[in-house]
Amino acid sequence: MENKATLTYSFSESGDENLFLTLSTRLCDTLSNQTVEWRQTYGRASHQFQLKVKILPLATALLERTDLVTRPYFHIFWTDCNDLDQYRSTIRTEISSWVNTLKNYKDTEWMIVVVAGDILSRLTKAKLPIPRMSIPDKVKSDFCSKNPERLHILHDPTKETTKSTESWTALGLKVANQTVRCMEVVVSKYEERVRAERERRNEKSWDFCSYLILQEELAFMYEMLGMFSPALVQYDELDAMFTQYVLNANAGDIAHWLSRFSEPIKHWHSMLLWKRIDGDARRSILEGQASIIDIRNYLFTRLCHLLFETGKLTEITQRMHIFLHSLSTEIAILEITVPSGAIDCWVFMCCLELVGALCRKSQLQNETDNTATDNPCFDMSNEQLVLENASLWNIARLKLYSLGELCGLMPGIVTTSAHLQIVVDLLAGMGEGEERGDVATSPALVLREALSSKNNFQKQYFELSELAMGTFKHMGHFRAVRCIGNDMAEFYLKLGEPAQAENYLIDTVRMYEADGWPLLLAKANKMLARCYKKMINIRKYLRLCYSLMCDEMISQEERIFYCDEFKSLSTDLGDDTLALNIHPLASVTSIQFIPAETSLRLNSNHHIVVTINSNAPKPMTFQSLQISLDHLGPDDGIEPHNIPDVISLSSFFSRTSEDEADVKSLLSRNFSHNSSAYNSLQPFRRHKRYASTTSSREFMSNQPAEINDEGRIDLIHFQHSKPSKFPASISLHAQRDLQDGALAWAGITCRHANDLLRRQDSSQSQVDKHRSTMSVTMETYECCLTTRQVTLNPGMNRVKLNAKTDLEGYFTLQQLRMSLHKTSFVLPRIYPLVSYQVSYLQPKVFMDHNEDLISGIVQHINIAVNKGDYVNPDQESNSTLSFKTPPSVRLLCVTKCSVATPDEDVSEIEKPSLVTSSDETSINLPSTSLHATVLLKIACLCLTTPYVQKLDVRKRHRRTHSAPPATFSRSPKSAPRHKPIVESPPNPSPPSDGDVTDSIVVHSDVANGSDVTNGGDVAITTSEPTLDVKQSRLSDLKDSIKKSRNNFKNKFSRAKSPKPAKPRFDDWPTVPPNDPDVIITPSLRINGDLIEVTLDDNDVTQPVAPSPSKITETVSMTSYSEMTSSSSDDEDCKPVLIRKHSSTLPRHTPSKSDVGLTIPPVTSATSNSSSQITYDVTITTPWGDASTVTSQITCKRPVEFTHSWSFAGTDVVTRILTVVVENVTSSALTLSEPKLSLSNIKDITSLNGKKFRPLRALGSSTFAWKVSSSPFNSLNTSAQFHADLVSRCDDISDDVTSTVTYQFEVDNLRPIYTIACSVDDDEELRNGVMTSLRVDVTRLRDDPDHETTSNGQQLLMFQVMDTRGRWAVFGKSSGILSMPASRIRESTHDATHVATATVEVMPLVSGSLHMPYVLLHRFMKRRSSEFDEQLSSTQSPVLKPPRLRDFERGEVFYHHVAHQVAVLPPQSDVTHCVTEL
Amino acid sequence: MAVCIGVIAKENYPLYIRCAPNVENEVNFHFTVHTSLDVIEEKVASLGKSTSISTTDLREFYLGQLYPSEDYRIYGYVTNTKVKFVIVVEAANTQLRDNEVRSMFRRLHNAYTDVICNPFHVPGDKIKSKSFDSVASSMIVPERKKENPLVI
Repeated sequence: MENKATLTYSFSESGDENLFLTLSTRLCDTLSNQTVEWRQTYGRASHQFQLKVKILPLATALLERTDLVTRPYFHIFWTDCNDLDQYRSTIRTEISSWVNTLKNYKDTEWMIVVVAGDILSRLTKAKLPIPRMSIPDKVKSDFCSKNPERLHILHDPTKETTKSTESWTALGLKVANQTVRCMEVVVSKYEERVRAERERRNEKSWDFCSYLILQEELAFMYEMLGMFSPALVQYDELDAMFTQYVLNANAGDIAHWLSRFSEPIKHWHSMLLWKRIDGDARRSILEGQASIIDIRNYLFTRLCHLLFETGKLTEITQRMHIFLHSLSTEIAILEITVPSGAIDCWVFMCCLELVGALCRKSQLQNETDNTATDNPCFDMSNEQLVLENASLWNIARLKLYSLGELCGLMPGIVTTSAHLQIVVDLLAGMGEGEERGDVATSPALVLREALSSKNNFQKQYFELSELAMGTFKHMGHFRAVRCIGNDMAEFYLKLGEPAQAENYLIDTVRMYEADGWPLLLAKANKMLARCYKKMINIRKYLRLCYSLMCDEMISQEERIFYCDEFKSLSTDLGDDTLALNIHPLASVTSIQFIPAETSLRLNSNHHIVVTINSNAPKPMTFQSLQISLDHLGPDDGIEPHNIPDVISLSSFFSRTSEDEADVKSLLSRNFSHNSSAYNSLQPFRRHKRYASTTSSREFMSNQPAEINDEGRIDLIHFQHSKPSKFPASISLHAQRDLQDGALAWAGITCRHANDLLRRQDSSQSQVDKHRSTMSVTMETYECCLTTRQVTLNPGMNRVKLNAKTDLEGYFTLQQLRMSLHKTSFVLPRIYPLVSYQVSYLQPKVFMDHNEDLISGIVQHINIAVNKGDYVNPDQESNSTLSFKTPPSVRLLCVTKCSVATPDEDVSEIEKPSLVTSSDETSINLPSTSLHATVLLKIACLCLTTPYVQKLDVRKRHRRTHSAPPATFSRSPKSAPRHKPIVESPPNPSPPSDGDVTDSIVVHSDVANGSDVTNGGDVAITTSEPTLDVKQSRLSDLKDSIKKSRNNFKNKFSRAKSPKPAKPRFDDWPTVPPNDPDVIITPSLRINGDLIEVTLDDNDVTQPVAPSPSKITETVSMTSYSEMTSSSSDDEDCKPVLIRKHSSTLPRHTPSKSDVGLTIPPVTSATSNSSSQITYDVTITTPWGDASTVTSQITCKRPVEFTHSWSFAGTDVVTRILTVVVENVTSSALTLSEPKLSLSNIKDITSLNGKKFRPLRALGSSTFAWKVSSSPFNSLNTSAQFHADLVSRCDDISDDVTSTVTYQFEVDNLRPIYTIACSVDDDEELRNGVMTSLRVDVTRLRDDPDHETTSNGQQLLMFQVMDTRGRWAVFGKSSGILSMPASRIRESTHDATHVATATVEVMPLVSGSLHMPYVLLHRFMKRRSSEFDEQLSSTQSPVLKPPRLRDFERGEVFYHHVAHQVAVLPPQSDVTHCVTEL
Repeated sequence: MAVCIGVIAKENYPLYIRCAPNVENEVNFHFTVHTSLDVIEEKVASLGKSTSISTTDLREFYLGQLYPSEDYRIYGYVTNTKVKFVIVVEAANTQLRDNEVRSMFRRLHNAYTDVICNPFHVPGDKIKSKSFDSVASSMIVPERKKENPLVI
């Protein structure tokens, strides 16, 4: 019911009451259309409104009202009196009494309305009325003389005339204004009164309730006037005042009237928003019976009402929370006794009431939107309203829940009578659920029903929860939803329906996980665990137990509880297994190799220590700890660390040196894929560019990690999944300039580079930290490391595992798992890659020697024996190493034995003894630790092989002329060191022409200065022509011979054949056809003085690659000369392995140079290269399959030999044989007991002195013998030189000797011709005086090679020459001597075998001069096949003229070789000299 | 004064939560603060909608009271980087005015800025700063005991 301002009406008794009622009604309508202004005091804004009034008949009761709302503010007296008389008689009195009545009451306005009807007007017109005599005039003069406004004439009120309307409007305006003015006055006065009353609030008699009623009147007034804001202010003030009093009470200032509120509250009615004014509440306030709940209820109801009127829903929603929540605080402050649950009931009901009201308003709003009337528009959207509803539902839910707990309505609680009593009490306090017109159920009824039984309670609770959840969910408030869901789950759990709870809890857990709230997550997990336990879902329960026992957010006791639960239930999984990530339980921090190395030996004892940091609350024992291995066998071929499927950029660029190789390999790999334009890359400057500091951490490297010094690798813990955007590979390219090879460009090609280089968020979200990665992928643990019964204590643990070394290959540690019954905790990936290699070392025997061994002396060879990883199956402690050597190699003893451990520690141990049987030498190896190497030093002696020289002097060195006296040196290098020690005096006899200088050269190591001894050591070269043969090793030939060395090794090897090898030419083609080396067809031809050997193979010009191990000996000159001589005999070109450019063999050409001084050594070529022999030594080891090892010993010949065969003195028979032994090694040797034996000559006199002859390194020593041959001997003889090489060994008491043997041939034991020169007048030979030189050539024996002329003569050509300018030859210097070819009988000195020639010569210098040099040539025998192609025809073949040939050495004996003639200076010169002097 | 102060990261995980020392059930505050994120998100979203782009920098950090509960009042504050501060005040503490709450937030924000400015602090890590702790604890006073409600 709406309040309206009250007006009263009175009317003249004579008047028609119905008419006036009609008029009053019409006035109301008129007023309601009038807008009036309410002026407020104190500068407050004025308010425009339409005055709504109710017009009542005047009654004294009305007048006596003092309240604002119902008191009349305006009074109207209606009269329709037309008759003056009537007026005077009755109406005047009536009005007078009316006015008087009103005057008794202040603050009222009145008005007299005279209704001037039609009759009246007609009357006045008709009667020409006197102005002063009309009724209105009368009334005016009687009552309104001061205030004519109080009179109004209403014309024709019932008719719709203009006049009527105007008069109505005027009346309305007047009434409204006056009423409002009156009201203003009244309200103003009332406000004053309220203010005054408020000022009294500290007085004892002051009471809030009465004040409330007082001030509320203002609010009513304003509300009545439609001024809701001022009305609200009144309530706000009251509300604030009450709150303030309560707060003051809290501060200690308790107002006296408040004590009334401290009484126990017995009623907790809900506020009733459906009523405008809760009359009951107001009444109780008026009566002073109201509790704080009543007051609050009342105030809030009124506020709500006003706010709804103004449409301020926001205000309501804000205030309602304060309203709902402040009450309990205030009750606490005021220490009011309230039955427990009462407040909850109240709040519950209020909530529902509010919800209902809001819903109604919301519906209303929707309707108004549709109908578009001008009802108040709400300042809240529907969604917000719904949200508020949801929060109200939520509050109601909470309250209901606590009520349920209080009243024993929760599931699982038995409702007792006490509970029932509480319910009864609560229901009693709630009051009766009153009937409402429009709302079906009142909150009180709802609550009553909910509390009536468990089922109803549950139903109500779920209904509210669902409502709240649904709404929150709809509005996106998911966290609130989870909160409610949590409670729901708890309720369901209590209800014994865990399956229902599970979904709620899973949602909750997910939410907290996603948001990363550890404490809440722990709580939700605990509930979920409880849920699963009730559901007997062991698998899920175990998972939760696992995560809870590692959760640091819950207490230690709880963690231990869950740990125990886990342990006890881990057996109950049945056949199922459960794999859990190790992460929350423990973290594997490092892996350590003990000892610190990753390349292991097969079956070696290595450990891997895993450091595990356990987060478990208590020690846990696991049945096993396993690390799965990825095994890559040795035969799989791929080096695992060369497969960089993912390249770590950080390691790629940050490390400097170590990765160089990797980069290169990587680069080359990519280059190989590219075209050839991409040349392979030289080291180039790499740009140190990091992709991104943060992102580089994420990159995974497939490079195995390096262990540090302690063998440890710190693992990286991956919490996040592997970043998938990283490309599989990055390729690097470079291109080189084609001209100069400089790097043209280099670049990196990488797809998705933008992704890689994108800036990353600098703040890392830690949400993921709480996300447990439970599911893991298990590796197959077929190949794994295992240890049993591992107990992990909280904190750091070190677990030792035995490394798997029983397999060869490459092992990569992949995954770690710890098993506890049926559950296992898995570290899904061990990163960085940890790998180790197991390799099997084969037993090994090495044999070597420092440099080439020297035959004949005791030397040492080293033998290293390593057992490797071989394990003796029958555990023999000692093992025997046996050597099989050729007979020429003798192992003498072990001189040193030491053991080297793998750590390079070398220790010497007792020497094992050598046991020598028939063909084997064996050593008992000492037992050593694994992988230790036994080093043996064995003294050995390689016997020297006989040194054979077979040189066909006749063929090799032809000389038709006897050699001039020569001083020849051994080699150009040693020549300066030679000096003549003994110079033989000029030999006077036989007298001969020409100057001949004899020189005696001693070949000895004079440079040493110590070895010059007596004459025994001196080889005297007489004036006779000497034949000096140097053992030649045609080194230049050697290279080419080497190639086919293997093919005819057997034929050439002196070591194997005691006799000099004599290869025949029919042997040559027997080159094994399968020999892959070279097939050479050399050709040889003799071109004048040169023997040219052509190898018509192209690669001859290229140096042949030496194969040092196989070249064992140099082809001896003997063998070679055999070949060459044969080839000389046969003019057909036979293959000889001689290199063309190197085989210019000088022949005896003394005439070309000053042959008298030096004759170049006949050695065709000298070489410093050593001749070597390789022996195979077979070592038999006692281990494994590779039991036999063949090694080789290479021996060098210690000495080289040369010999010379010279005439001694004038005797043709006596000669000196000199053997020069040259030490070609770099160590000093000792020779003893030199012996020479000739095959058929017994007359040998040794000229050698001491028994022992030291031989310095690279020095030489000469041995000489005097040999006298008889004419009956044959021309040739074979000689053999023996000497003992003496060497000492520390471990052998006796000297070890070995014999060096030199076999050679000596020919031309007797000369063919002797030449004797004599000069006429040799007493007085003067310089410049011509004389005749007589040359006597005597033949001593037959010369089979000499051509015989047709008349049986043998022709000799002689030539007298002097190239040094001592002699001048006059006339013919050469001529032909003829000699009969008849056989010479021995011992006869027939004159026919002597030829004589005379040549005119003149000495050019004075002094003792050698005779001029006489060269003899002979004509060689022709063969029948030698035809002169130019001269001969087919009919008459003409043989070629015989060729002239020199004589070989030893074939011509110069009688006068040392003979000198004294040439006197010319006579004139003497005087001249005298005068000059 | 406050009973609980929470700092929540952009991703809605807690950076710092400190409750009054005599609070019995800390987890309830976690629930409260966590649930308040709903309201904060809603408010931030509505702020973002209502304010134009040019004025986003100047927008109000203070979100006011988030939602009332029976025992507590919860206030929110969001920085430019979407770090949220939540202060929980006892509902009984009626003397605390809005302005005081604002100034508390401002102090908290300054302290947080100091923490972030520390070069050794990794953004996104939990706050373990003593100075921040002292600022926070200066805002937290022991909860009033129910037995003696007259003593502030």
